[in-house]
Formats: sequence, structure tokens, C-alpha cells
Amino acid sequence: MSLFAVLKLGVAASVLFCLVVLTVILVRTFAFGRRPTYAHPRGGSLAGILYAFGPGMLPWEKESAAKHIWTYIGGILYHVGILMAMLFLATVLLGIPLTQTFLQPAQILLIIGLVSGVALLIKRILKPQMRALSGGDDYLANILVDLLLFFALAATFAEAMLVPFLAVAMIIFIYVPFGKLRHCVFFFYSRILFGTFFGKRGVFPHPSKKA
Amino acid sequence: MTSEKVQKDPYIERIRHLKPDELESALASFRKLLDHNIAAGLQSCVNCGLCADSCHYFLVTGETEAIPAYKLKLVSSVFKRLLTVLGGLAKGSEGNGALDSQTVERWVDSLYGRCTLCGRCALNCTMGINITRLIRTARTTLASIDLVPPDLQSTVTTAVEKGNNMGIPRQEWLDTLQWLSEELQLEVGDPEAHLPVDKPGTEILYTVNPREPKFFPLSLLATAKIFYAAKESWTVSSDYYDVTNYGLYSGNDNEAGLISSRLRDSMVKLGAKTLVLGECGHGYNSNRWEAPEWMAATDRFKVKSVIQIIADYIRQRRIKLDPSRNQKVVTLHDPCNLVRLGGIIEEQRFILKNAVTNFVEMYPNREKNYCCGGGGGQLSMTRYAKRRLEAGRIKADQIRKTGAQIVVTPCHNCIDQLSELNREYDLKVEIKTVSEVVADVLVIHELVS
Repeated sequence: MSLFAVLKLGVAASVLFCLVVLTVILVRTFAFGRRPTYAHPRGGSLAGILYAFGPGMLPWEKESAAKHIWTYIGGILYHVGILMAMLFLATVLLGIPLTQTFLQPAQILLIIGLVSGVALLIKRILKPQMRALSGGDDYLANILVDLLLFFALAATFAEAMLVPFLAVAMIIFIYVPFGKLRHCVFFFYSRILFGTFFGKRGVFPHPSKKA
Repeated sequence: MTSEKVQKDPYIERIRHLKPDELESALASFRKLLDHNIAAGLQSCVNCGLCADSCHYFLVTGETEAIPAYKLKLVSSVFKRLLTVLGGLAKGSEGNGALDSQTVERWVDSLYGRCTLCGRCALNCTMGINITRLIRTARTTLASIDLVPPDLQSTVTTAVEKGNNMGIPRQEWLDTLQWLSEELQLEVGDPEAHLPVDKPGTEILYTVNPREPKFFPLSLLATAKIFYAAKESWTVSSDYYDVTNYGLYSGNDNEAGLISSRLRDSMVKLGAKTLVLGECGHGYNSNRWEAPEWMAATDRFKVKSVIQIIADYIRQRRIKLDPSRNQKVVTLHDPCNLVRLGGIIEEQRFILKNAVTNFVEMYPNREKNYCCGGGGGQLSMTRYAKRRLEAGRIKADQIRKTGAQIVVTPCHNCIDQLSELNREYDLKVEIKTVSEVVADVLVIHELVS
């Protein structure tokens, strides 16, 4: 069996591992139980959840995004790049041949994503308040993902780069459940809770904007 | 040696000498408080740091200890060490997650001493984590081993023991109501006008912040005047009338539940239809949203803010206002617990637009508004008074930029803090409740005739 084939199997196994451990974490989190709520709602939870994933993410609705617009844009582009890398990984694992019409936009998104990731890392290193907040996980997660984007990009130019790309992907999937990268799941969890809380209290959607 | 002894703070000394069984007990309480909502929040932070600028403490001091993500980390590190596989391995500025004396001291300093539980960080969190709820959970943990800062606890204890947080004796309350009735008669020119006490079967049971009868009786008189003009069927209770609930801030759910349950007892005893909460931000949040959870019971009656009631009077033309009587520049401070955490956002604006001619918003406003700095129990925790006034600079700047002559806020705690900020930052503004502004422009005689 070739090294490439072994790595492909390794990535598949690490994805499975990641999914299993994330499921265990989610089940354990749910296992803490759900407290019944007694206060009469003033607004709708569903409307709040829709707000949380829609307008509530926009910079004119969220001051933290508006005040740090470049970080906000960088964060979005970083995640778009990561999605692209994952899509690329899927094509590699499934052996789907790539056309130029896919490759060129993919390369652009990977470059933008990589630049954004590195910029966010530099910001974390340079800003004292960010340094004070950060732990090893914050740096490691960023560096691993930046490497993934870098090797994904490199692999679109040179097939030999698929080996380090798959190796990094394997490491990332094993690491995801144990560090901040688990936010790939908890982001949705938290925002649902956010929408439920503020929706029920009638804060969001904003009363003046309701039909 | 003597001066060293004098300077020692017994509260901090107790924290530094916590016994292992006390720490174990705190940890057990913490574990008991966890539900999936809290557990998810404690695992979600990505340390993006974007919450920092949402906190008025951080904006003023720039200190790491004031960053909401840091405060959250103080709590989540304990959770992770306790309940996750690799949790104990990480060690950052917040400690290694062991709930020891050092951690408890950090919790107290940041979670009581640098937080007003205003919820602004939750609103601005990229992930949407309800940081406020997690910080209160930590406060509840500290409360379980009697580590609520003593000055905050004494406010709660007074409410529990005396029935109101200022310890006003029943007779003093009744006397105040009596002379306010006489004042009301003079004001409206009606010898029958009065503040009803313990009247059964009314539409409204009205509750007040004890600061009103104690220090600001004219504020209560203003509300009474509005009820009179609206021909409202209302009453106050002779026993339990305190809308405040500092248990929300101390974190002690049992005491918080007891305080709120008394208002429910008055409702049942008097058979009123709607519990109307006076102008008090945290009183609204406590009694409208949190009390049913503390008591594990759904209210069988409506619970409303007096702001909603006044807005309804205007909409239904039950009261008539003459805004030309108030031509000063008026701005509005949104209390966090009423607005961001309570959902009463537009009513106060609707009222003011009908009550004054020159209303200007401060920016940011509504649910995005900055906390004045008086919430979270800060007003009673004198040990943090300097920080509180410093953190209030953001609000003072906001007010100054409006050019307003009157700052209106539907919250007596906010009024106290704003009054201090007025002096500290030389703002030269008048500070009033919504009821006071409305009462000043009520057209009583036309209605009476």
C-alpha cells in the first residue's frame, strides 16, 4: 500500500474519531440536563434563533463586529478558506478529479483564507490583551489550520504536497475535539441558546423591526 | 503591626484561609448548578477577544481581569478541569482550573468586583455565549459557601429579615403613604385622592423600590398621580412591596426566590390581577424573568413593568399629556436589566416622545446601551466603589455628548449611580424617572372636569 493510500485511510479514520468524540462530548453536555422554564415568554424562541444566525451576525447589529471590522472580515474569510480546504480534502479522499474551473477559485479562496489566518495569528501575538487571553491551544489551533490551508494550496499546484496536506488534516481531525476547534459544533449550539434566550425575552428580533 | 491588622479585610482573609471541605462544598455546588446550557457556554469560547470592548470596565481600565472572556475563562477552567479529559493540563493567567483559594480570590475580584451582570458581553460575543449567566452561576457557587461580599449580602439579608432592602418598618411605610395621600390630594385638588393600601381585588398591585419611600417619595407620588389620572384600580401592600431583589446579584437563588415569592404572596392575599413592577431594572428582570425559575412555578397572573402600563394609558388615551410643559433637552438611559435582559425597549421611548418636546437618544442605545455601572450589586459593594465610578465614565461621556439637560431612566439603581456620576463628572444634568417626567406634564384638571 502506498504512503498516499495509507494517509487517505488515516484521514478517514481521524474523521471518524473526531465525529465519535464530538458526539460523546455533545451527549455528555446534553446529559447535564435541561431545566424546565417557567416564565411566560414575551417573544418567540424560533424568531430569536433565526435572528442569531441571520441579522444577529451582521456588523451593524453587533458592535464587536463593527468595531473590529477587519478582524470580523478576516474571520469570515478564514472560515471560507477552511471550508474550501475541507471541500478539497473531500475531493482528494473520494478521488474526484478537479477541473480548472474549480481549481482557480479554490486557489484564490485558499490564499485569502491563509492570509486571514496568519493575520489573525499575528494580531493574537502582537496585541497585549490578546496575548494575555491566549493559551497554547489558541496558537496551536491557528497554526495547524494555517498549515492545512497552506498545504491545500500547495497541493493544488504540486501533487507531492498531498502527503503533508493529508498528514496535517489527520492531525487536525484528531485534535478538534480536544481544543477550541470544537467550536465547529459549539458555535451552532451557543447561537441557538443565544437566540432562544433573547428571543423568548422579546429582545430579538428587535421590537421596532418586527412586522 | 497594628496598622497592618487594621488594614486586613476579614472577607479576603477568609477567602485566603478557606478549608478544603469548604472548597469541596463549593465545587459540589458548582457541579449541581450545571445544566446543558451552562455546560455548552463553558465549552464554547474561542478567545477571539472581541468581547473586550463591550465591557465598560475594560474600556476604562484596559485590564485583562476586566475582559469578559477572561472572566469566563476563570469559570470554564474549573469546569474543564473537573469534567473534561484534558482540562487539567492547560494553565493560563486564570490559573490551572483547581478551585482553590487563589481561584476563589480571582473569582471574587473579577466576577463580583468587575462585573455588573449587564449582559453587554453576551450580546457582543461572536459565539453568542451568555457570559452573564455563567458569571452568575459562579456567584451562586460562591454564595453556597457564604462568600458573597459582606456589604452586598447585608442588603439581601435586610430584605429577607425585614421584608424590604432598606429595612423600613411597616409603620413608617404606612405613615409615608398617608402623607403622600395628603400631598396627592393637594396636587390634584381632590380630597378623595389617595394611595390605596391592601385594597382587595384591584387590577394592579404596585411594587416600589424602597428608596422611593425612604429618599424619593415624590417619585412614588408621581406614579400615584398617573394612576389617579388614569382612574386605575390599584393598591400597594402594607407588608411586601419591595420590587428589588439583590439575590439576583448575590447569586443566592434560595434568598432570591424567597424575596420574589413574597410579592406573589401579596398578589394571592389581595387578589390583584396584575403585578406591576415599579421603575427598577433588576427588579423587573428578577420578578418577570428569574423569579418563576427560582420558584419553579409559572405565574398565574400578569407581571408587567409600570412603563408598559403608562405606555398603555397613553395609547388608550386614559391620560393626557402636555409635552410643551417640558421643553428641555431630554435623553434616556436604558437600564440593562429592563432593556437588554428584559425586553422592554420601545415603551419608554414612546412615553417620552409623548411627554417632552425635545427628546434625544444617546448612542449607543436600546439593548446596545452601555451599563451605567450601578448594576450587579455594585452600588452596595462599597469595596469596589472607586472602580464603579471609574467605569461609569463611559456613561458620563455618553450623556455629555447628547447635550441633554435631563436624563431619564426607569430604574432607581441607575438613578443612584447616575446621580453619583453627575457629581463625579460634573455633568450638570437633572436625573428623573419616567413617572416623574410624565407626572410633570399630566393634564389632570381637564380630565377631572
